[in-house]
Amino acid sequence: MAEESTPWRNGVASLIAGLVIGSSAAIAGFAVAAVGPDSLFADPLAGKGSGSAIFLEPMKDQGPQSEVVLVKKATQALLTARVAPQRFPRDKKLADSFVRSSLAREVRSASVADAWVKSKASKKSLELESALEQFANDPTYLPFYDNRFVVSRWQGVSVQDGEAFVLLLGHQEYQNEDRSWQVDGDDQWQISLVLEDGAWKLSSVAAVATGGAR
Amino acid sequence: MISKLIEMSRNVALILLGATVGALIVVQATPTASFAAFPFNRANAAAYASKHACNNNERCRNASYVDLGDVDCTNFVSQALRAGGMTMKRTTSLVWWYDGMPGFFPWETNRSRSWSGVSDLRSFLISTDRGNYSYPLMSASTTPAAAGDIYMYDWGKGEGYSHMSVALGSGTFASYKDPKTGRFYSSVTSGYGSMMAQHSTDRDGAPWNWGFQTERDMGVRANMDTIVIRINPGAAN
Repeated sequence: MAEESTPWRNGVASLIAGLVIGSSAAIAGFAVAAVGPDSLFADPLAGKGSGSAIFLEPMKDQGPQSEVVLVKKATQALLTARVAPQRFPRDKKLADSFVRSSLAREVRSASVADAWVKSKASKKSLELESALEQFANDPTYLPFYDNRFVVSRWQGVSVQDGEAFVLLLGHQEYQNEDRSWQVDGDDQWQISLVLEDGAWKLSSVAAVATGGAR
Repeated sequence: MISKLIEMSRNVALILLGATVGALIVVQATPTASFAAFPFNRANAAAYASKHACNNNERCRNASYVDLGDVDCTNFVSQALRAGGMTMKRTTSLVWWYDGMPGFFPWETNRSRSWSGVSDLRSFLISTDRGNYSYPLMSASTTPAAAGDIYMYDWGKGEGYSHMSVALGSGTFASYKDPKTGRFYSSVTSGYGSMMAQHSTDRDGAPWNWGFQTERDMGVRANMDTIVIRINPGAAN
């Protein structure tokens, strides 16, 4: 009797062992999935975009007052100058050769070098030429003939050892063909500057839309 | 010897059978993250967006919802999704919900971060498969977005994706002159194309890429980007 029941018992034991193994494996699988929700719910767009600048709280000016004044003056001029090389000539003949003329390209390159630190100038120049190629003949783009940067409110300047950080609310204004002006909405501009060869130059520029919308 | 081999084979087979049955029992008994597909009425979502966004005027905003002033874009998009029938989700780490007006105390929150935050809503929609995304050409007059879908904008100035609007489908742009730029919506792409409604600077029937069209700084323009998030009503989550 005992001899006859052994294979039956072995079979049940094997089946139970299998059940334990299988269910354990399944539970372990769910556990792994549960502790790693990011792998289950991946967001492929996370971290994409032109940057991650956020709105910063206004700060008190730091550094010698005379240098703060100079940095403010330089900032406004540089924010105008960084866009100025895109001004279209009013003269039709000049406008036609504006993009492709090697002379115009050299002038633009010099203008960019006047606004940006040496380490960024050539990259900024290439970006400008690429943008000009892309948009100068784009019928959806409206060229402008003059521009100026307007500061609505200074939100803090920090100057130390030939470097400066500026926070301000302001906007760019562009002159249309009919000499009227397009006035952009205010952004919060976050600007890093470096004193190079005795002149303040742009090192980085980011702008955060104050209302999020255009 | 042979009988032992037969017995061993039978036991292995029984273990495999048991493992399969065991795994099946666990899988069947475990609740998955799936929920019923939500109904989504695109026309309702777009109609809501159009009704509650007046060009450059906040008087059309729905007073039943909290008004976040000049950072109201995603709150407004969520309202439109809700009007379209998207179901709220309050469980698991991926949530999207709104609970009426905020309480008196600051900790009495009335909404999930995904209700009013650009990156949080995007993350919720994409991660739960409620939305699929694509990149339209910025200068194109039309996009793959249907009414009720979402546009997510990167203004190209170093902030990343920071704004959302509701797609209204394609048609003739609203007859409106934007006071900031002095331009009519109709001056863009012959007055026809994909349209949007948005809050923050409130707009209705505007070209989907109005910010791009009116940007004069070519460097910034080259950096601009938009993602279309197509709402996927068949999503399981």
